Amino acid sequence: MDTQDDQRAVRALREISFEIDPGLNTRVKAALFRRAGELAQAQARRRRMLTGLVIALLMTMSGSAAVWEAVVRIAGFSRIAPPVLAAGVVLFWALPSLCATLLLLTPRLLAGYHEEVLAL
Amino acid sequence: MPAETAGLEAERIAQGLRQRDLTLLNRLVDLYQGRLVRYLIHLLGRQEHVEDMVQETWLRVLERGRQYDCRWRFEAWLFTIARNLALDLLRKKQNSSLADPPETGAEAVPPSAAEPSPFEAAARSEDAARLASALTALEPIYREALLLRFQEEMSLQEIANIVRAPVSTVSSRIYRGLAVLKAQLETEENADGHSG
Repeated sequence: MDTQDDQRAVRALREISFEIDPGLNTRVKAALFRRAGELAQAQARRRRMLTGLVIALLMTMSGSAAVWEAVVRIAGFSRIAPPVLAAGVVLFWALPSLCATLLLLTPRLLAGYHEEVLAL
Repeated sequence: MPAETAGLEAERIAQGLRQRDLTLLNRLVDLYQGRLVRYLIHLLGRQEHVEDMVQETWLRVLERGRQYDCRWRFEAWLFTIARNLALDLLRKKQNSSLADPPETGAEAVPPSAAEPSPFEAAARSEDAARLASALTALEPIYREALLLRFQEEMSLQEIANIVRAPVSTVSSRIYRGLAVLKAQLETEENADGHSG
């Protein structure tokens, strides 16, 4: 390969330079500013939902513990066997509470996550 | 730029991108916009859609900033994002010349004669003007390889990372592309000589 010809071709290649619309940078920066705001909002929403989920789970757990205490006391007066009682509490209190919490909060949490990460 | 300084710079960029630092992003736009536009025009062979793609590329830089690996130069990552977007666009237009490039020839769709190609319009010297039509007719993969090697001055390995091809393929694309351009220069020069 002729080096001189190569150099000439490369030099000619470098002499092709494009003019850029001066407004393009401004438009790009404005778009970045808008999107950064949207992302920050989505992140804040997600953080709030996550906090809400943790609080809801803690409340479910403490509520279930309180119900369990009450049920154990009531069981002292009744003839219901403890395993049946435990199954009843889990089936009719703890599980529905947990499901309600997750059903209410998880879709919103996922939506926030989608908005921030998956939609990228 | 020395490697250490470049590394530090890349590290600072990575940190800023992780924090979605808009001041840093604005600086990056100022610094790299021209090169990004040039790269996209070389890939697409036209200026149509370039502005949208430039904007989309920067939005992805903002959104995916955490994925930037500071071991690589920022522009390499930027061009990879731009390339993926360009590929998507070309796929949508059912033009798969970049995704599934033919390795046997450097000739491509002839440019439309109606108006000058972006390369012809951007030629700043006689030789560049001679080269412009060949550049327009060249397959995007060859234009891309030539641009990254001789205008962006990237190493073969860096180019290989961007185009996701082996170094030998990149090397052969540069060789073939350059051969086409040299032939064009000679032909045009001979034609000018005969006519003059």
